[in-house]
Amino acid sequence: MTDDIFDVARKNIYWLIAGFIIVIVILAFVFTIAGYRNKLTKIPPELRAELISLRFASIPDCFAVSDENTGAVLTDTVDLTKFTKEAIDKCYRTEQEKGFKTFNFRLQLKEAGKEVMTNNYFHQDDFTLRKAVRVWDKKKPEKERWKSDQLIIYVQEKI
Amino acid sequence: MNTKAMNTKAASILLMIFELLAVILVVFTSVSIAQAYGKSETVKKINTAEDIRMMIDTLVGVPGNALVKYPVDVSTFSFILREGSLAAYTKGDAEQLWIVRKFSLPEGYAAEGVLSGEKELCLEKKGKKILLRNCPASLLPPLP
Repeated sequence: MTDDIFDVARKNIYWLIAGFIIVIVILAFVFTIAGYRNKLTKIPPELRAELISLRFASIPDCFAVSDENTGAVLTDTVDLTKFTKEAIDKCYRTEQEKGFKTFNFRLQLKEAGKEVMTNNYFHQDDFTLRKAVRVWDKKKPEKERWKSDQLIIYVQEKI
Repeated sequence: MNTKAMNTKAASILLMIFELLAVILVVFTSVSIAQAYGKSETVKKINTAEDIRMMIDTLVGVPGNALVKYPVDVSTFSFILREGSLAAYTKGDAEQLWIVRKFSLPEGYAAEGVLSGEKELCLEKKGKKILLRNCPASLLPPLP
């Protein structure tokens, strides 16, 4: 009789421990599968950053040079007068509060020595992209307006 | 005395039933979790949403107009393209299960479009507008 009562109590304790272990096993299972799925769907951050940064030297809404008369756009060019904080804020802007969780950039023109950065860039560089560009400076005399330069794009993936 | 012994036996049987139910519940939970997470459809949905987001980033970086076809059958999914975000989902999905991908457009640009159950998906850049739509019969520009 007493043994039977102890048997029931033993089973209760057993199930308490078993329940705890089962929960842990299920959680481990969930995390393993979620990790595997993340691996399957991972996009290299360098690729995304490269595609986002295409705009900087390719469209006139960012820094690319466009012909005032014809409107034709010259790709892989940077208009030095546009290379400002205001222009990059119009070109690529992340959410004010959560924007640090996505890509942010610091753009540097090596020879011209100018630099601009996006609104949530905090100098946490993850990798760097480089592009050969031609820089156009409207303020200089006609013959000296075009110069070859390198656009260095420091990428902060997320903080 | 007999009643007490019977009570203990009943408790033991109840525990056995509980054990069986617990085992069934654990097996069922594990299988449904595995199915939900490992479904190839979810992976496909995520990959499609990522691909379209990258296509949008690329189109933004293209001067002029462009029309691009996504070369995969997307008839099982629905898409909503809004200002700054793309949602991909299967009909009947709760909103929490939608795959949402965000992107940043330059000032003055707009993105819009809804597509559901169509086999082909196209993204079109028209000036400062990015449109998600079904593909036209021919992707070639009209003859002059």
